[in-house]
Amino acid sequence: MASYRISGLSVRSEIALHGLMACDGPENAAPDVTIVRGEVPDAFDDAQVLGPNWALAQDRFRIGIPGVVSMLLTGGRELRFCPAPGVSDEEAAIFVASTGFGILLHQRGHPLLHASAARVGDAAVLFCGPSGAGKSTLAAALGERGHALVADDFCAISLREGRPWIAPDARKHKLWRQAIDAMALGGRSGAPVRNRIEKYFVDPREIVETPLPVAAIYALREQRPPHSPGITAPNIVDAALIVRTNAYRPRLVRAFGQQPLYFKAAAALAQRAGVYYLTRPLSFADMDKTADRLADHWASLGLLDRAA
Amino acid sequence: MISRHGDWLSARVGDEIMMMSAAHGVYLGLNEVGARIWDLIETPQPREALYAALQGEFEVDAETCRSEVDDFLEELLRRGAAVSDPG
Amino acid sequence: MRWIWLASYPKSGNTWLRLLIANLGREEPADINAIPESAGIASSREWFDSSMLFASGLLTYDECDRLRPMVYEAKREEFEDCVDLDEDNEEGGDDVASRVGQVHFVKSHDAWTVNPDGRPLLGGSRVADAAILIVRDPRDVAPSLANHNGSTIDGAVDLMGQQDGAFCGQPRRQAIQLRQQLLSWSAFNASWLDQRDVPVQCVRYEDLYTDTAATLGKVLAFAGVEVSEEDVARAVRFAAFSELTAQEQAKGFREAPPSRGKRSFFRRGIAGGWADELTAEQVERIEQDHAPMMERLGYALSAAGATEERRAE
Repeated sequence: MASYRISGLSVRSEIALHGLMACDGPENAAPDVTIVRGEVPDAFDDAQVLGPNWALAQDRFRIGIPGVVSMLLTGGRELRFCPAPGVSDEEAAIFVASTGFGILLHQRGHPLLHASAARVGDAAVLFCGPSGAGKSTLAAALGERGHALVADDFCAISLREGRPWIAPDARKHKLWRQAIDAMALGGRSGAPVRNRIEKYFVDPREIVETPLPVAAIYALREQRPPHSPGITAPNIVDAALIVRTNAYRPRLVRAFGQQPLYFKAAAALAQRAGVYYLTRPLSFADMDKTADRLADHWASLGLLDRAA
Repeated sequence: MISRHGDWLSARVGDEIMMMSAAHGVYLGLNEVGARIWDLIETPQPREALYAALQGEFEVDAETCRSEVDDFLEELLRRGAAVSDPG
Repeated sequence: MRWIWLASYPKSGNTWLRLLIANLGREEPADINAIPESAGIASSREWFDSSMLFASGLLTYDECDRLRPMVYEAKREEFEDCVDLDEDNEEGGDDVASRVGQVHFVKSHDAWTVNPDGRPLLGGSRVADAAILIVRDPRDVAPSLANHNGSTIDGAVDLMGQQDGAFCGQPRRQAIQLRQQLLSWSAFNASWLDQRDVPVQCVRYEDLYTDTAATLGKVLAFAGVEVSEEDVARAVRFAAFSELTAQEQAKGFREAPPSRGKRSFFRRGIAGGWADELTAEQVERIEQDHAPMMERLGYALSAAGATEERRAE
């Protein structure tokens, strides 16, 4: 049994979850979530929503990664996994820790964003965008500049008295070979995220382990016509849509009927933090320029006042 | 009488209002004037009362005010965010 | 609903045809930037990730290919569910620009292949009702492809002749789109023309250029879109190249690759421009690589090639 904290939740797992930071488990208290090996049904008799490889029925959700692992998530409390024949725990683990846990967080009713996050002063800033938008790379680059990692892939948002907070979800960076080489992070890179994929775990320099208020959320865009580089504020409809479309799994917001939840999160982020577009070239050569631009923006927002 | 309609959620952001219809998944944004009208029609209002209220609060001549308000209401009605009842 | 693939080897006029379609039934020219980029294309990573709920980036390209038929089947179901809705859903995956009434046009630069499980990669007849294959003289494709890829013309000719040619197939980083197996220029076109899963109509870029309205009319009739001649004529006017380049210069176009110098997406909208851009040797290489398919599609071999052929007789 291994213990972890994931997105602010205590987790006890029967398998080692590579890339996550192990911690001492609560001795007696029951964990918030348990990850166990077991049988996973191929289908539900009472399915309410069906996807090609997933199904939702009441408080149960099943998803299969064909040929790798199938998972059954129940009530946001238990994640049961069943590796496909001949598949090692290690190979299944990356899908359990990312896909499986992300869906479980959706199931728990948190607004969950597909974003990375870094600490700036006493707050967190989020970077969202679809797979390949450069979220992890930017968080890693900011880590090199002294901004501790708050989250790498998903950000669970909660509202406290109308203010948006993020539960820390610091884990190892997952970076493609090209990014590791370009940023000279080879010294801290470890095992591949999965065999045959040239994406590797990289140790973050520093991580955050306590919840932080969210100061800003940036939707990443590549600089290409018609978008010129810079930080701009979208109109409020686009701000709401940025939050909605950057749910960790947008399809699940509809499946779980959580649209109002994301609307409220968007409103809170627009009112109490700030929603922006960050448009920049995707090339590594321009990373410093992007980081400088962000630093200027944080200074203008007053985020750096209490830092250091 | 004009009044709000449907299951719209709304939230004020600065001078503007962000709105969403949970049933249709549609998002709307109202500018300062639109936001004021939305506030006013929380209780059903005759059109004339809206014209009068806005003319008192914004710098606008009567004709422009009428046509802009009518356009805006038309849009709200079309989106199913408001209804117009005779009387 | 009907699902129509708009298939083409890159730089063969796919975007132009989509722009024509997007301009149907409009009061003013469609904004060139409203044409969906990553949405509405078979290789969309977003379609995969949002249907399957896990990151395609964790799979090898072959593993992705095994699952891609399921993605299109799910997408088709989603389109069918939205039949009654006039508005696009808030997840933003769909776009009115790629749909005319109940006919959805979906772009593909993937060749028609079967995946490692022996299933058609694009889902076969369970997904699509028909396909439109847009072809263009390979001697025009080469300079345009070089411009798009930021490569030399020789590099483009190489890619067009490569049996395992692909887009977005780099293993060291994650491309925005899924890997697309182009095969060679000849094999790409053969794959679509010779498959027997869905009816296919071939459209030559050159015919679209010479008589846009008549050619577009034929394409739409094949796709099952009912439009009047006036509608077609107006769409043609709106999409006219002058309009395209004007809009592109004014706003830039989001489908253009990130700039490596100043290249514009609609580099040159002229059919038959190869003669002054290719060297004799490049023309010869292209013709050597692709003669049978060129002849099949009605692209005459150049004088040099023709002379040799006569001599061979």
